[in-house]
Amino acid sequence: MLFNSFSFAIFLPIVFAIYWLLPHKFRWILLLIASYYFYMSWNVKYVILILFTTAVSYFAAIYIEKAKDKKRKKCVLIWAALLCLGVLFFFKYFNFATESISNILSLFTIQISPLTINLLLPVGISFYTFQTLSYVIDVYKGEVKAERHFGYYATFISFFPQLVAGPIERTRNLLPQIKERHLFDYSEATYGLKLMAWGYFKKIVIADTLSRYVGTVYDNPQQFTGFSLVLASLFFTIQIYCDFSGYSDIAVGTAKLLGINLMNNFQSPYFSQSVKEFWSRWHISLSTWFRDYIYIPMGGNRVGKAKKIRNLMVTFLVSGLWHGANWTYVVWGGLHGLAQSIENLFVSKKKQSELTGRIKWGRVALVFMFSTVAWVFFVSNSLSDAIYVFQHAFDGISAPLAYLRDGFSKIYIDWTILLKMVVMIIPLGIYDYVSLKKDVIIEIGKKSLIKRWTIYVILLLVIVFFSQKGIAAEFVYFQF
Amino acid sequence: MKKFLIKILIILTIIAAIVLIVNEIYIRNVSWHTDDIYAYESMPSELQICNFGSSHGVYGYNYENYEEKYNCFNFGLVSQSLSYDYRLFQNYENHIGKGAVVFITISYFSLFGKDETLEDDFESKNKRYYSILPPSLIKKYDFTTDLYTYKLPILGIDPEVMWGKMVRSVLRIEEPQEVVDEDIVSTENVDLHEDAKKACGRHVDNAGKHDENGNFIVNQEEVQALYDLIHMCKNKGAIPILIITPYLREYTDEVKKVDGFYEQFYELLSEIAEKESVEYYDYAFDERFNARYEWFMNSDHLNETGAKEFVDILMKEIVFKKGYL
Repeated sequence: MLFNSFSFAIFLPIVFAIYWLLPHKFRWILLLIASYYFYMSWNVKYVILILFTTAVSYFAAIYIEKAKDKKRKKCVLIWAALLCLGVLFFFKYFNFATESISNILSLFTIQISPLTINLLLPVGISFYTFQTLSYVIDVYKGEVKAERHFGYYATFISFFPQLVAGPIERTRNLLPQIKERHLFDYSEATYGLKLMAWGYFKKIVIADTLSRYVGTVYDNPQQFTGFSLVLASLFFTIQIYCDFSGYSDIAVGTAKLLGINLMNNFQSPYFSQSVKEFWSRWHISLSTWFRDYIYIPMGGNRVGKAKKIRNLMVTFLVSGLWHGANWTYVVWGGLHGLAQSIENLFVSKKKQSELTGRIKWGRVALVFMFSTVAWVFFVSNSLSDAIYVFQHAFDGISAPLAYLRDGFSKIYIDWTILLKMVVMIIPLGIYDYVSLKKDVIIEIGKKSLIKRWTIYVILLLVIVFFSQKGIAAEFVYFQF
Repeated sequence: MKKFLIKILIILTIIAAIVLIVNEIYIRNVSWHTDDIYAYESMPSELQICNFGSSHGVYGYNYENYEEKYNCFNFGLVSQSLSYDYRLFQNYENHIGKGAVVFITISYFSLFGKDETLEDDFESKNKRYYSILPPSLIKKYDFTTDLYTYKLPILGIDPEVMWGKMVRSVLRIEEPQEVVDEDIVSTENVDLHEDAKKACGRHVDNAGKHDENGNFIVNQEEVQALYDLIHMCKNKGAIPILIITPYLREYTDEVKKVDGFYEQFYELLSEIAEKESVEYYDYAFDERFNARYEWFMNSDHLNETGAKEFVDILMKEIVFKKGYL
């Protein structure tokens, strides 16, 4: 059940109504049933996997807490992690691993046909696996207590707004809220709805529109040359942001309707002045996960320069691999690790407030361009496709006007469509820029009744009239 | 909570009202259907002559010369299957008069091949019926499609197209002229051999998959629909007549190359006609048509002139001769 489907438009009001009608002590039951129903709407069979991961982490955490011997605690932690990651590995990385081994062996003239399994990747598996892992690790570290109530715990793992594509919640934030008694809060609920509307605008108006052109080019890049490749890459940079942050906004908004606060997953990432800052604003729940459970345990910043670079590279390569079982993701992660390493070594550590406007915007542009280049690997089906894009993106640039005109016409973009893109992206830019300092939704809420209602009505009408209808396009991050 | 629900209700009402108003303006001012779908809105009652069929039905019959005297209607739609012919008959049976002549057009692909709902472009073809059939008669009925294509067509427009129209009307820029496809009216610019090859591939080779013995797989659902349509015509007191419309030689020559197709097709069609005691007329090889290039728009579809000539022949050779009208 996609957030942008009719079934969700029926599902959510029903859950909302029953949730607030039910006494507090039964609400977790409703959330658990709703969450499992939500998950099973993709594939009933895969409910076994989430149940397995939930049960393993639940019992492991209790055992770790009870065990007095540190060695035993560690042993259980390793076994729990292996079991949870084993499921993830089997479904997501098995084919990739066997194919990669076979390719490596073929370099040494050993020909082995890889053993592959034809399995569908269970939706959201990377997200809930990481959530369970963080819980078990936190219990091991003694940072949180093991949850004894299986129902609460299962609801924490499967909470439907964030189940399939995050934010990857931490135990400290979400679990207590599931147990807590909530009273309906008007301002929180309306905030949630407004955030959802903004998320839908980003997803079904901007991202889905751009995905048409991105798909045309990246499904078969060899059919294109020149500016159309640049254009599709730029479009993907915007599309992936609107798609994923749109999803996160809808998730956070949905949870707010139920009185639950999820963590903010995006904070105007394309206004970052460094790659490091980009990662503190992009997919925050994942980047903090990697920071807390991989980067810091390896030594983090508190080591020499060489080790710090090693830590960064390992963290980002694993992050790339987390996204998908393909070398394109590994390269994408590696590029981000490399960029941060270079920043660490060479870029001035002047405080941002000390930088002049021109330098600030120059840095923003540079980070934007870097992320666009890196996204080429992310969106390409193979490394050879990505290399093709770089090799041919500037074909014909010696005649700039023809270069631009051909680029637009090859992907059927006329001036009206271009204008639409600009008109769509301007409010996105303004929203994100203002968000650097203020909460836009709260700011709009302070305007006069007529002004703010005009904004709400226009936003909803734009969603109704200018969304890509008749297709419920999946969110890009669902494949991870 | 009360305040929250009231505000949601208010904003939803505002949005719904605006959508309904814009939808109404759109329906009244813009042609949102194709002409053949619009035709259903002005279907005469007590039909005396009508035809069903796919594109061979749409383009094969032009009743202009007979419309003053008789109530005529063309139920054909491009790529229409026999099962939809039957569903249309079910829905519009009250329009069909007693003793009406019903031409059931049989295209080569209509009796063989895979289930229509498995075809790639099934959804786009199926959308047409939301405006002319009730949900119970629509294959794989889906409420959202109904909403976007029939109930609120304003929501079904491609946002890119809508935006383009809006911008042009605000800036008072004329819409770009659509290129008129001259092939629609004549075969003058058509490479008929190439066209026949493609059409044959579409209609015969691809549409009718072979079983392990090399025979074309009969589409039982479509054959059954043809039987049902014939029965329904008879029950209604109408006269069903099976028709194969004229084709150019280039097309039939191409189909001849497909091993065993004609034998299997005519065997099946004769069996149905015989079993149901219905007349069937095959104009596919009719010499009056198969080299008259000025009557065709491509290798297998008549143009307007050709369709009028064909109806003339049908009236003289069947309808009047047999005293049906």
